[in-house]
Amino acid sequence: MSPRPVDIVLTTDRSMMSNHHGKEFLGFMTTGPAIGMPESLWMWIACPKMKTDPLGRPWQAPYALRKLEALLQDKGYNAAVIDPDHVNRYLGSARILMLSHHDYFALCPPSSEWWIVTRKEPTNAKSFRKFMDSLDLRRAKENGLKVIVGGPAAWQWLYKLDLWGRWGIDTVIDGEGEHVVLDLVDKVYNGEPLPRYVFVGPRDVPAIEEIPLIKHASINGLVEIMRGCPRGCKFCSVTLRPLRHMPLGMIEKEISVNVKEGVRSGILHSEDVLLYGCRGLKLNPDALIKLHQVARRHLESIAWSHASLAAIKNAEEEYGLISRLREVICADGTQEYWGVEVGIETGSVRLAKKIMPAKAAPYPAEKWPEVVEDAFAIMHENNIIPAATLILGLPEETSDDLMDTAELIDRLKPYRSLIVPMFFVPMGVLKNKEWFTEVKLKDEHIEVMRICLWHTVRWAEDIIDRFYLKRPHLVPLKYSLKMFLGYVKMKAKSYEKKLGLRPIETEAVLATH
Amino acid sequence: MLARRFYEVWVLGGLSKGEAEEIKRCLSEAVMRRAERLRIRIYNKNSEDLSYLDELKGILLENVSLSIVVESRDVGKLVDDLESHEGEITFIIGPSFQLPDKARFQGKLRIIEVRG
Repeated sequence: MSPRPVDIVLTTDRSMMSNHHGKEFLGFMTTGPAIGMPESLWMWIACPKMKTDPLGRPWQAPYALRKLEALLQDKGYNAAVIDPDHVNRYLGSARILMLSHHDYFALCPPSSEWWIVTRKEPTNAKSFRKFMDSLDLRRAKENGLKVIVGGPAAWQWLYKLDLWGRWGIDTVIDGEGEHVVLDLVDKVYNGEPLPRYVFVGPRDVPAIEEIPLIKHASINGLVEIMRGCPRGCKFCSVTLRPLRHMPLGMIEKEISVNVKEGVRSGILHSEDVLLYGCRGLKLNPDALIKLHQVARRHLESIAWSHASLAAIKNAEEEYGLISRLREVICADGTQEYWGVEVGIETGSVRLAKKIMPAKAAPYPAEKWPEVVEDAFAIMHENNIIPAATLILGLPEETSDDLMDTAELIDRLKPYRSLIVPMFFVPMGVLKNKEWFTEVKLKDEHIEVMRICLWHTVRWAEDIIDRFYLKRPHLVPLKYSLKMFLGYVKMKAKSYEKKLGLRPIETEAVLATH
Repeated sequence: MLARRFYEVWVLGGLSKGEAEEIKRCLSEAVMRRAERLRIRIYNKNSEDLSYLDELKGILLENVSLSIVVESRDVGKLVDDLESHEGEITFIIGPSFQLPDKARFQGKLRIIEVRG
């Protein structure tokens, strides 16, 4: 059956166009190369294909693509998100191909880190390259197709200029695209030349009333509750954008879109969920309770994308808010836990003051390690399972900083969590094709990474046994993951023996529940 | 966004370190003047040549304050574009390039000539 033409095709590769078996965290496996199993099995675990309709439109799609799809449809354009396996059907007649990705070429952490450690290209970059090479772009470009790329990893295209010609990239957009995308589409339709690169600065971001509502389901029900962040950490570009809180009505409508299309779980997305409705850094408990009550009304399960450790500690200490939110989220027993990403970044007070002085606020930066530990304890007591990140290899980092970080991670042993170190890669290093061979790990880095690995593996096994993948149809996946963890432990022990390293105590002190 | 006001920096010829340094200075000036957007337009004989993006990469990645648009145009379009453009342009001319009809456009151009 010949499909009705789609003028503007929005898509991405399989590593992104997947709901990861309904488990968002499994998507992180696409940031690594296949380890201990064939790549096809790795991809099945990490990013299986979802169902599509006869036109090749996927059940769920990345939220950013859904936003642009809605924006373009609202303006009357014939635009649709299309599954990567179906894109070629439309390329012959499409006017514009729009692409988005978290990490096109595996240059962001944690992909870059796994590349440094394994010397193998991660699956997300391989998958994207394979996808682009599969497209019949030459013929489509002859027919006038324009290719516009964006997303949070748009900057990476500046390191891959050779691929612009190979894949016919016309324009790269870096930043919030709601305004400029419409300008570019106008130019295409008017036969005007396109700019090669656009960075959307803070004064050109859309106001809330200019942000469209999604019309179709997002991956695992992700909906944004706010944009921007007031903390000003040096390593983060999001903080430079104006803070905007999405009205509750808007959030509820988007949740309803997801539920109507059969996605009954939801991820509340923000750089810091607990800052929803905040005034400066002062939390707004009423707004947060209402938000979660609304979400709970519609959803079977709720997760948070990100929260700051300082806000978690402050929320519980000042308002008892984490416990109150747990009552809402886990009401009626359908949900036992929820996940969130958090940033530890460093255990060094010296580094914390230098690169992220406001991350501990309202607590002083000197108290950062205590903030981290207290927040982990609060999360453990409330069945919040954090996936925490560290930053290693910062330019001003010293061996003492790394020792402080190692000591902090050690104090976090009793708390159910995954801790993943991310490696800072300077811009200049990325210029070279073999850049990952240039990043040298110090002994102290290896020690921190080892502590993190054993902590994470130990708690991952506990999480899988107690909380994760309980439904019968997910049993094969559960056992594949357990086999993978077993393989990781075996390999880690063998490397430690080879390097003459003392095994790390893996029997964490367990809490009473 | 693209129809709004930009601080205009046009470059004639390819982009080497000299021109890139001037663009960096222009960016600082634009920030000081509280401009909100910067347009960098490269006039090339070969508009498919992207090597200028390599020179601009550092500037583009370090900038967080202004919106920036980078365009590439065929050098044959330069005179028409100068005629039709309203507003001031900072015009960077690389070594061994010359601006045709310079006197005609003197009023709207701030010219910076980069020596080789």
